[in-house]
Amino acid sequence: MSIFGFKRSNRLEDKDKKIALLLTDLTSLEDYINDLFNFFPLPICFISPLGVILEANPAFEKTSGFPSEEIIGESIKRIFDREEISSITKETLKEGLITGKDLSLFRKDGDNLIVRVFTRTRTDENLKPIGYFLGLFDLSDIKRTEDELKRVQAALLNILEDTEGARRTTEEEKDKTQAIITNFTDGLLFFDKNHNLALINPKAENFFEIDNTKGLKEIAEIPSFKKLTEFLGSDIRDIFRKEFIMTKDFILEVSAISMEKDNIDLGNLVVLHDISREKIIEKLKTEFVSLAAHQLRTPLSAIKWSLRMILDGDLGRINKDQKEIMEKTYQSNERMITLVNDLLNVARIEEGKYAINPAFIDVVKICQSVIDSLADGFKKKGIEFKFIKPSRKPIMIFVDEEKIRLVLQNVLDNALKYTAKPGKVFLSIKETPTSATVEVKDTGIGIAKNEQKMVFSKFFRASEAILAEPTGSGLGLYMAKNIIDSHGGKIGFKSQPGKGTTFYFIIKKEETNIS
Amino acid sequence: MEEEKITRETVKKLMAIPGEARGVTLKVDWEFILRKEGKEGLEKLERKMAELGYPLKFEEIKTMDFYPIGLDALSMTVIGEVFNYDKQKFIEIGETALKFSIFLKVFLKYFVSPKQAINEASKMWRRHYSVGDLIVAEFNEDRGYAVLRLENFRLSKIHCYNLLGYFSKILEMIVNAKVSIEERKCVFDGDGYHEYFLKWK
Repeated sequence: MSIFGFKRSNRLEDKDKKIALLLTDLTSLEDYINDLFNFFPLPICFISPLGVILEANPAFEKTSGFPSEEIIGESIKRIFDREEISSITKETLKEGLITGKDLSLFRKDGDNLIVRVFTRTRTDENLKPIGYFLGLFDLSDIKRTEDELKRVQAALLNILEDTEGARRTTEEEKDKTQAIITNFTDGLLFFDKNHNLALINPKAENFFEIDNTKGLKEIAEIPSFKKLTEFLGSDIRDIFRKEFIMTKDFILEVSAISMEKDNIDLGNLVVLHDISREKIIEKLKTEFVSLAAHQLRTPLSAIKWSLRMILDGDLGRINKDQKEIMEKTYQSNERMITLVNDLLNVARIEEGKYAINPAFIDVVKICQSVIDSLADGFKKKGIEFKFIKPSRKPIMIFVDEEKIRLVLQNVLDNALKYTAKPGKVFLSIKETPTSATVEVKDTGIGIAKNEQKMVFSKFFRASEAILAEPTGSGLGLYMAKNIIDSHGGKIGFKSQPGKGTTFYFIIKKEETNIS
Repeated sequence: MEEEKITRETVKKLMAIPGEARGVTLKVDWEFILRKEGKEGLEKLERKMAELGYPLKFEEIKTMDFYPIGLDALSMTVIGEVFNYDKQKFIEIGETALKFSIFLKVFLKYFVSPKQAINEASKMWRRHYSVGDLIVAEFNEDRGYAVLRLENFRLSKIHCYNLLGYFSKILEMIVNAKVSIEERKCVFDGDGYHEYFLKWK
């Protein structure tokens, strides 16, 4: 053996050869151990029984963040939780090994890692422990994943709880809704977005005399039900309180509402309200009014002509005072006759006996005729009246002249009544290729906003109107609307309290089916 | 300039020191250079050794093998010259040496308790060097001090610093406490042996 020229003596040469051989093997073994130790991807260290780190592989350096020169010779407590590692050391030296225990590892950079530790003691030739190997797995990622999974699990459980809560609430709501639907005093139908019957409540079943054994498809085929679906139309248009006559004595008031949520069509709800009883009462009332009016009209006419004769002196001369009283009595009788006539007209309308006999008539002529009858009234009251005609040529409309005259008379009469001196009233006719619009504009008392929706109701009189003109039946505009509706036209108004009102009605020019 | 400091005469004198040292004593010092000065530093050291007639390569140093003890002394001297290391740096080399030493694995069984380690100190020395006798003159675990005596060992003063680091660090590992060390006697100061006083809490 020779290193840098140093030679052993000859007599030791054989021994040296053996030692050299052993050293070569030892060096190879050392290299192997070092390579293995350095390669090993799991962090490993060796700890003395006193708790001093005596060896650490590169993986341990990487995991702990401490280079080996800083960590070897240091207490293991510098890296691990003191109590935890003391317990591990004690248990390892006692039991010989530990197969997996979670510890906190304090990295040099201050981070804490959760690691799973495995240990095994090393013993000397007398089997006495001379320290222990400690290997570990970094559980941080696993822990993080585990924590994340726990959070996800908790979140999912929360969602499940919420969903369950929502399901219960929905169930309760559904039960409530079902109870409401079942016990609703009106008939309820629900058609899905394809307009197929999806729900019918017991009341509606009752209306259509359906027993609860029938399926929805069967119900849809029942003739009386089909009649209703035809009434609703194939696309089930929205309607509000429209009468549907099931039989002569069984009348339903039908409302159909489109159901939407977030702009998604859900279907249509149809409410059926039985108005048969109201209709019968109404009919009886109308019949009574009609009868009473008829019975009143004859004596009132007799009174009228008698008074006329007295006033004209046909029955002898009367003095001034008598004439004045007679004149007032005559006017009162006239109002009574007007009222009776109005009541009769209303009764006819409601009985469906108010026949419309249309013909092509010049609306300008009708207007002029009505204006002529009221011109004196405007003059006497000092109200400026103006008739604005669109052209000289006639404007022909397909109407019942007498009824349209009545409408115009009512509207103009109202303008006269409720416009004070020095007010103005204008009547104008506007023409389109298909329709004519008659407009009466006044500078009168106007109609309060909150009363406007009642204007076309039977017997309704606006509070300002009552103050301005105590007499009046409240039937004129009701009749006007019914007449215009019967002609398939439209009547409406715009009004500003204290400034005036403009009434208009639109009538189609062409021949139409008039009800 | 460095070459001028370490003369052929110095090399000859160092290499003439009788005795052998295990390769590990060289390897750990060079490992320190590799870590502190990098690969370039190590190459510088290797070049300098070659220039002085001892073309030693880091990779070729066999830790278990026996080398002339003079080579260890020369290596230390060259390190001091090339890297301009002072006393503190050589103490640091000594402190670090144990951490890189394969012999640590061999001595593990002596680190079970301070008493056992002290009892085995002489054997551990002999595992490193064929010359010199390490004697534990005093050891008081309760009061926390020890006196080590190193006889028949004369390499260089640099080596004395190196042993300061080495002895203190090995004792720290044994007693698991911070150890302070002082060389109270030194052959280079005219004493008959080296004496180290170690104290811990």
